[in-house]
Amino acid sequence: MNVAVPMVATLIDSTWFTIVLAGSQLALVMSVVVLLAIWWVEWRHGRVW
Amino acid sequence: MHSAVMATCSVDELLWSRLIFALGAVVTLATVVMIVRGHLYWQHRDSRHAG
Amino acid sequence: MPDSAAPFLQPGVAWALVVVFAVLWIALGIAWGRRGKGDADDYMLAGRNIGLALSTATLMASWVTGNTTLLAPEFGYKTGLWGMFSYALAGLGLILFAPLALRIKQLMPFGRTSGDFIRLRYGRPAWCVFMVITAVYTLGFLMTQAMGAGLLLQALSGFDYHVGMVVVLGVATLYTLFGGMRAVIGTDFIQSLLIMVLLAVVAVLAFRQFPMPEVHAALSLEHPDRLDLLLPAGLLIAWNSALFSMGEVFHNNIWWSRVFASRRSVVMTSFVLGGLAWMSVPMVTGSIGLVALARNLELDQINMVFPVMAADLLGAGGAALVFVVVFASLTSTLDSLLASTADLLAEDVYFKLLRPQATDLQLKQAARLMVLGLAVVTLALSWPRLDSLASVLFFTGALVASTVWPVACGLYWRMANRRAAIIAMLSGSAVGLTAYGLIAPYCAAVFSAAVSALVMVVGSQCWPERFDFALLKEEA
Repeated sequence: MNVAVPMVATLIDSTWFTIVLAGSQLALVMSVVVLLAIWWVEWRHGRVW
Repeated sequence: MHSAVMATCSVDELLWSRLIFALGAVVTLATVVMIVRGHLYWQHRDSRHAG
Repeated sequence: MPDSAAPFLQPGVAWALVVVFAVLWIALGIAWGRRGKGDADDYMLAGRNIGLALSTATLMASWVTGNTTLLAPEFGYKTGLWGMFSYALAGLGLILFAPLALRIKQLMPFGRTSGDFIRLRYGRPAWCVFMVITAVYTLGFLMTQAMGAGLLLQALSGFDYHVGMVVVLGVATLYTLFGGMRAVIGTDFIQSLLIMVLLAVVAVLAFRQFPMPEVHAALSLEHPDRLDLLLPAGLLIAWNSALFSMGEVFHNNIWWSRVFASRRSVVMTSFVLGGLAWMSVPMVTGSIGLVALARNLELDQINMVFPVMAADLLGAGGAALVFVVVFASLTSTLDSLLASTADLLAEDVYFKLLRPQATDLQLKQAARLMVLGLAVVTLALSWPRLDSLASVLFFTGALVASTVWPVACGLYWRMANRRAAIIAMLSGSAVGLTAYGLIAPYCAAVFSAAVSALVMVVGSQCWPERFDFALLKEEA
């Protein structure tokens, strides 16, 4: 059946939109920091390879 | 979050997308449960043998 | 981008960047390749002891492809938040493989490939089915990356399509050939940092110029569907991304070779961290697509939204950043594909099937020849330019998703039945391909995984095996 119906949508509000986007950028930056920190600790102990 | 009346959409399209979403969620959840149960079972067993 | 349009980056600058990074990757690759014992095991698995930093970085870099940096913004632009979420769900493949990785390391301390596991666990017939699936997927993946290299370098800097493809594939092949898995993993570490840092720079600058509340307001007014959490198109593709990625990671030797190469104490953590780190990439690049939409940026091609935004924000510098990110993404994925697929062919076909009496040196030489052979085949198949190549990979979701339950059950369930595994892979693939054609490309993996799971559960319950996991400890 192909009857057109009005579709109720749930739109994200500005606060959550900011949280999601800022959160993803923070996660990306933290990934770099954590990766470098892990490498640094392993390098100090000769455990990189 | 707020609701708004959007552009129209056919019943077929909406139904299919929700069905497939539900199926995908069920299969993904079942896979997660299977893996977690398997992991915990063998971890518990290995730690008992080691202990 | 139309061939006649001006490139984002001057060809002279682009060539300079190519030469600098090509020399760097090849020099480092050769230097790292000289470490270790020099035997076949070392060439294929980098000493089986790599630490958490390298392991996490190589997973993350290998999973960031040309698509992640260019297709994800397109998803954000066209489907909004759900497009970004759905793309990011592909990180679940790495995260859910983490416990399996630990189990593999425990059961197969001398293992080399995913094919080794399938052969030992389910027998030769299952191995044949599995190898067909992985061959189709891997070839498709290689072609999309090679074609992507040609198309992207042409769009970004005006290089001829064939020249761009030869350059990227050539560089990746050279350092992989000489340095083996150590070269791949070492260069992946630097490439992953480059990708993440440069993406963060572009994203932060974009939102400094166009604050998030303003982007939200513009989208609410003109494109509210991009903010809709119940968008039908988004619901349709969401779980397909997760199950497709699980199929890719659970079966493909790229990820199994990382398991065997990593130290046992770090392998599970590295997959979790790598998956989490990766998930932030499509979210960030997707959000740049949203900014472009909110600003009504003029685009000749939607998949160029990321370079267009970067050039718009930072001029030639932005274009150079994008070029470096894309070059790093392509080489980091191509090197992993070449090395791991060569290892699979050398170990499973050359050694275990054709020449069990081959010496260690012969095996290493075979692996090297396979790297070269794969590069040549990829070049030949990718030579004709095909613009709609992203869709080539989608149908392989129907095949690879059928391997999720056979692989996972094979690791955890003694009763996992070998006939059920074969039927699960075949029936899952068939149903998935049917769904691809009759319903939508974006649900193939869902149907494939569902049917495969059902067959595996019913088959193993009704005809349980009593597999001895000690049989997996095959000596190298």
